[in-house]
Amino acid sequence: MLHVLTNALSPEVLKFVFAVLRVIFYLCCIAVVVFSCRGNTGGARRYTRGLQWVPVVMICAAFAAILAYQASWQLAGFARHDFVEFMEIYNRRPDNAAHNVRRGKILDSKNRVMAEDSCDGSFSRVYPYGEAAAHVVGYRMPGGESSGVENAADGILCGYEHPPESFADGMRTIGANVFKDVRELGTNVVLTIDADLQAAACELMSGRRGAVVAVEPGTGAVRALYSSPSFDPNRYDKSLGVAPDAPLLNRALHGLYPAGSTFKTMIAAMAVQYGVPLRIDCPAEGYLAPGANRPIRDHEYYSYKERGSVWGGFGKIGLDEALAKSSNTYFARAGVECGTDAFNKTVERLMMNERIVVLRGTNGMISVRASRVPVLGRGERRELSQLSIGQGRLLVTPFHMALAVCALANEGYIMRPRLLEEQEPSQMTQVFSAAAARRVREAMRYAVLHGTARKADIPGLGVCGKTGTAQNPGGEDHSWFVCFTTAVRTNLAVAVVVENAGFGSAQALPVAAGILRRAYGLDSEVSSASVKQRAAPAAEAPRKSGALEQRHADGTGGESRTEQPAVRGALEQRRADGTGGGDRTRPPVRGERTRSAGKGVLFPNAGRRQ
Amino acid sequence: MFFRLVILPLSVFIPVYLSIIVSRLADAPVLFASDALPAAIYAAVVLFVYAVLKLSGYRGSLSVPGLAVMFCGLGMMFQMRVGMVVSLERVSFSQWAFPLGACAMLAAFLSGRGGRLRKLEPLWFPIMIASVAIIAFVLIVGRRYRGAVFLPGNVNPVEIVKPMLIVFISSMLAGHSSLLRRGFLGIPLPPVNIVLTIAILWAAPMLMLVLQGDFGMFALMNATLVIMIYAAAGRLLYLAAGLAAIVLLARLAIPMTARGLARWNAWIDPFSVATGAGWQPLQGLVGLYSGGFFGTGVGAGSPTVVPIVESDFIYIVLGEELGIAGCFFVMLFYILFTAQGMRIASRTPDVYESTVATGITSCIALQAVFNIGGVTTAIPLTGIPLPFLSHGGSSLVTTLLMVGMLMAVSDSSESGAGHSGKRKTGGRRRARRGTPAPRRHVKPYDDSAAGSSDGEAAV
Repeated sequence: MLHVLTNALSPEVLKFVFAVLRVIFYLCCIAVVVFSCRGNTGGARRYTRGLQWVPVVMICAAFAAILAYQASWQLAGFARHDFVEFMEIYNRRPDNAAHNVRRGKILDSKNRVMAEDSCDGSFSRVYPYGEAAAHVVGYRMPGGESSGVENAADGILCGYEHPPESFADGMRTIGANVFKDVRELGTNVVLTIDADLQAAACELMSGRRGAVVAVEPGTGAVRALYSSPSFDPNRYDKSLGVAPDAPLLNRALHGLYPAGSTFKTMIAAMAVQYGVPLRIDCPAEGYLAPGANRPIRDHEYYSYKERGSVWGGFGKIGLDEALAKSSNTYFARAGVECGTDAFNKTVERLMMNERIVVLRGTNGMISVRASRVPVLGRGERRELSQLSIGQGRLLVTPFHMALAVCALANEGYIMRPRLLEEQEPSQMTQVFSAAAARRVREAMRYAVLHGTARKADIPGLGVCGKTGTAQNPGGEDHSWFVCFTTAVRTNLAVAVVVENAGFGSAQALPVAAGILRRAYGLDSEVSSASVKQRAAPAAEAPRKSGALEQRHADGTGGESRTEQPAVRGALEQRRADGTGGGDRTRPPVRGERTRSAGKGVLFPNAGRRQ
Repeated sequence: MFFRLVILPLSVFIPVYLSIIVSRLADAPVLFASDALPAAIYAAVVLFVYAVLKLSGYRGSLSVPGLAVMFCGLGMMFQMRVGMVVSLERVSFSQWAFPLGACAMLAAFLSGRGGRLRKLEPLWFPIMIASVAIIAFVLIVGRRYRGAVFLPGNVNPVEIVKPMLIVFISSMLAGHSSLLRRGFLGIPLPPVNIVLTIAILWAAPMLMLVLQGDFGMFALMNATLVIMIYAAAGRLLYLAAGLAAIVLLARLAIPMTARGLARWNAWIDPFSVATGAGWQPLQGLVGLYSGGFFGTGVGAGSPTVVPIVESDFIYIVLGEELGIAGCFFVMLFYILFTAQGMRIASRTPDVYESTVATGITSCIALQAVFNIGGVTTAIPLTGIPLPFLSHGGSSLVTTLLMVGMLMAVSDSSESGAGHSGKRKTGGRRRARRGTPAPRRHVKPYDDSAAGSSDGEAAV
C-alpha cells in the first residue's frame, strides 16, 4: 500500500500536498493567535499593575525589526550582490536559489547574443561565439571569477552599478522582483564589437599566435579585438593559466611587440608635421646616425648581398616611395632630422606610454597596457634612428598601434576607444595636424597600390596600409600589418600582428584584408559597384539604430548620439576633398601631394619646405 | 480548556507531522516505528498535561501552557525533520525531553500554586550560592564542546541557573522595590547601599558566567535583570539606561575574546570570512532565501546543509520550509507568550510573584530575540538556543520549568489565592532585616484605577 502512495507522489502531487498542508498550518496558526489574544477565563475585575506593556512593546519592536531585516535576506536577497555570489559557489542545495537571479546579456553591436545565462538551470554562462570572442567578452565562473567585459561590466550586468535614483525607486524594483520566479535586475550590455569580425579574425588567425584589433577611427568604437591562441570560455578551467602559448593572455591589449616598420607611419607623419625635407637620399650604404657604429641599411642591401650581387640604393626618394618600399635609411634619417624633442612630443601625444582605460567598471576594468617607448635625451640620436624604424627599445601593444593609425585616418585625432555602445564618442588626443595625417594617408595609399602592401587593396574601400616585419630576440620576425579604409562612410582601422611569422605582407596582411572584407560584406566576390551601396548604409544604419533601440529598451537614456564636432568636421573635410565618396580607386599622382599637404592649417610650412 | 490545551496545539502539530511523513514516503515506501513515535509521545503528553491541569483545577492563563505545548510540538517536529529522532532504542532528548519537561512544568506549577512560590523568597541566599556552585562545578568537571561547557551526556546544568538567578534577584528587587523607585523628576535615585548590595550579589554568578566564557547567557541574564528592575521599580529610565549599558557593554566586551571577535567580524561582514566564521550564518541565510515567502514545505527543503542546524539554527529550518510567513507566526507566538506572561505579572498582587513572572517571561522572550536576531545576522551570534524549538534537553526542561512557575503565579492570582498571612511573615522578616517593608499591594506606578482595585484583589 505504501508503494502505491509513493508512486502516486509525483513531484506535482507532492508540491500540491505540501502547499495544502502549509495552508492548513497557517490557518491553525491564525486560530492559535486569535484564541491566545482573547482574554482569560474569568473576566472579573482584577488587580492590574501599570506599565507592564512597555517590555511587550519592546519585544514586539525587536521582533518587527528582526523580521524586516530577515525579509531583506529572505525575500530580497537577490539584491545583495555578495550574497548571490556566495550562493553560486557554496549553496549545496539541489535546486540552488541563486539560479533565479539572472545576469544581463552581453550583446554585440548588432544585438547578437555574445553571453547569456544558460537556461538549463546551471549557473554557467553560455558564450555562443566561443573562442572567437573569448578575450573581449571574457569568461565568468560561478562565484564571480571573471575576465573581460564580464568582469569590467559586472556592475551593469548585475544591475548594481546604476543605483536607483531614490530609496522608493529601489524598493519598487525589489518589490517588483520579490514574487518572480526569475529575477532579472541586471541590464544587458551592448558592445561595439561586431561578432562577425571576431569570427572572421578567429578563422583567419587559426593556428597562429597574434592579435587583431579593429577600431573605427571616427568614433573610437572597437569593432574587433581578438587574441590568438584563444580559449573556449564555455569550458574555462584554471589549467588554462599555465597552458603553453598563454591562451588567457589578451595579446591585443597586453602583448608587447617591437613595432617594426608599421611605426614608420608615425615617423612619416611626424616628419611632415615638423616640416623636415621629405626628399631624402637613401644610398646603399645606409645611414650612420651620429654616435652609431653600424649604419642602418635597407632590407634590399641584405637580400642583394645574400644573392651575391651589389645593390645600388634607392637614391633620392620621397615619402610615398619610402613608405611603399619601407626604406629603413629614409625613416632613420627623417627621424633624426626631426630630433628627439619632436619624437618625445609625438610619442606623448600618441599616449604610447600610458595605460589607456577602455572600460572602467566597479569590479574591474579593461585597459590597454602601456607600450614602452623610451623618452629620449637630447643627444640620443643613435637611439632615435633605431626607434624611427620601429626597432630598438620600443615595444607596443597591437591596440596602441591600431589607435596610432586611427590618428592618420581621422585627421590627426584619436578618439577615445570605447567598448560599450552607451559610451559617448569623445576625443582623446590630437597627435598630428590634419594635413600631416592626410599626407601620410596618401603615402600609405601609395604603399597599398604600388608597394609592399599591394595585396591589401580592396576595390571600393580605398585601403591605406603599411606592412611591418619586426625583428625580435625571441626568434623569427613578427609579422605586422596596419591599415585603414578611407573611402567608406564608416571607416575602419585594423592592426594585425602575427608572432614569429616572417614578412608582414605574407602573414598579417591577408588577415587584415580578410577583416576588412568581412566588415564591408565583400567576402563573396562582390562587384565594386554594389559595394558603394552596401558598404555605406548597411554598415552604419542598422548598427546605430539597434544600439539606440537597446538603450531605449533598457531605459538607460534615449538621447541620440551626437557626433563630436571634430569627427564631423573631419568627415566633411574628407568629403569636400573628394576622398569620402566611396570610390577612390584612382592612385594619387605625385603632383597632387603638394596640394593636399599644403592645406595643413597648423603647419603651413609642411608642404612648402618639401 | 480542552480546545485550547489539546485541539489547538495538535492542529498546529498535525499538518507539520503529515508533511514530514509525506516527504519521507516520497523518498521511499517505508515507514519506521520511529516515524510514529513522536506523534504518539506528543499526543500522550498533551493529553496528560490537559488531564493534570483539569483535575488540579487550573484557573490561570490558558494561553501560556497552550502556547508552550504548541511550541514544543513544533520543536519536536523540526527535530524530527532534521533527523534528530533516530530510533526507539536510542535515548534521545528530542523525544524524551518534552515528556520530561512537561513533568517539570506540571511539578513546578503544582508545587508553586496557591502562593507557595513565595516560599522561595527568603531562600535567596542559598539559591544564589547554589547557582554559583553549579556554574563552578560545571566549569571544573565539564568538558568544552563548541564553545560551551557540558557535563557527560551533553547535559548543560548551567541552564537551570536561569530560573535560579531570576528567583534570587526577584527577592532582592521585590524587597526593595519602593526604594528603587525613589527618585526625582523621573530620574531614579535609589539609596546607594541598596544598589551596591544588589550589584555585589548579582556580580558573583555573573563573574562565574564570564569565567566560563558564556557571554550569551551573561548578556541574556543582564537584559532580563534590566527588565525586572524596571518592572519592580516602575521607572522607565532604568529600562532605557540598562539597555543602553548592555548594548555598549556588548560592543566593548564581545570583540575582547577570540571567539567573540570571530563572531563579531562574521556579523560585521560575513562575506569576508565566508568559509570561516561566516559560513554557518551565511548558509542559514541561503536557506532562508531558498524558502522565500511561503517556504518549500516541511520536508521538502534541504536545511541540513547548514551545519548544526538542529541546535541554535533551528529557526532557519522553519524559515526555509515554512517561509517567512511561518516565521511571522512563530514570532507572533513568542510575542503572544510575552504579552500573556507580562499580563500575568501585571495581574499579580504580590510584588515578588510579579517580579518572578516578569523575569521568566522576559528571559524566554529575550532568548527568542537573541537567537532569531543572531541567526538572521541582525545582531551578533550569541549561542543562545531558541526556547522550545532548539535541540537540547537541558534547555527545554528548564524553559518548561519556568513556564510551570509562570502558570503557578497565574493560577494563584486568578484564583485569588495567597494573600494570606504570608505577607505578614514577609513583613516581619523584613522588619528584622532593618529595611522598610513597603511591598505588598504597592503599585510600582500609582494610578487611581489600580489603587481602587487593590483591596478587592485579596478577595
